[in-house]
Amino acid sequence: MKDKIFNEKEAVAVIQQMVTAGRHNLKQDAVHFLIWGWVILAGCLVHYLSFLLQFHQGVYIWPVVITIGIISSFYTGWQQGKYSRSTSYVDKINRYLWLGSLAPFIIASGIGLMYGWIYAYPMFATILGWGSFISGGLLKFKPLVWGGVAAWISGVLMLVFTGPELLLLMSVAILFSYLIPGHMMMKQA
Amino acid sequence: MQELDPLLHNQLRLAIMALLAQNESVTFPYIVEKTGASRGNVSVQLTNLEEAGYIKIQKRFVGKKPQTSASITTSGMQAMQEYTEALKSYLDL
Repeated sequence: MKDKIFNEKEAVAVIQQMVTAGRHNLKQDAVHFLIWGWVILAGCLVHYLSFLLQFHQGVYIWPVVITIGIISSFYTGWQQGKYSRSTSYVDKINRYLWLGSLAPFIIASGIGLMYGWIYAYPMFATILGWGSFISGGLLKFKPLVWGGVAAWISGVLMLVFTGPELLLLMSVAILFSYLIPGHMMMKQA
Repeated sequence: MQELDPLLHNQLRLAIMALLAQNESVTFPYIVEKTGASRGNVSVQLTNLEEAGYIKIQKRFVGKKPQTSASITTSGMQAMQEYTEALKSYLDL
């Protein structure tokens, strides 16, 4: 690109070229969906298996996987920020969206601890779905939008169940809202 | 017909502004890579845009390395909007 005066049509072409060049890289977002997707899926499946094996300490998998998720996600985000050469407005909104989802997660966990986990699971699915749906809209990535809808459907079905099936429904929610879109984003990037 | 801002009606300066309009901030190497212009030329044009108040340049250290980044100001965004409006009228869009 040269430092020169040009005509109006060339000006439009330059703007279009820069919009294409500055397009958002999905890979950065995909990593976070994959970290949380695998961590939560592992938690759900281990907890579900513990029910099947009548091992009553299965619930303790959650502090372990959540800690792994937080550390991995913050470390990856910190590394990405350190080496990032551009910060788009989409990045900024996404960051606030997911950081802002932490408080509802903590509140839902509090409800689970105080009143029973059957009340918390539909809320978890709702928050997951909400994040995926909005992120999908921002990133213009339809599988995330549909994944969000799938998580909400799982959340509605969770209202019907009270047993370990909740964990299987949560696995379905995370599979469709995080893991499948996350892998698709990775492939597209 | 609206007049085209002479500061923006330049291939490299417009490219820089178009990149900055989409991002909260971008680093100097990113601008060089995306525009394909020389470092010296990008540097001169960034200074011109900063003097016009269209962009803000920040310098910081990442580890031990200095990093220069730029972001668009409110008046820069306004100028880009007016420029694209003027372009539309020229092209009869």
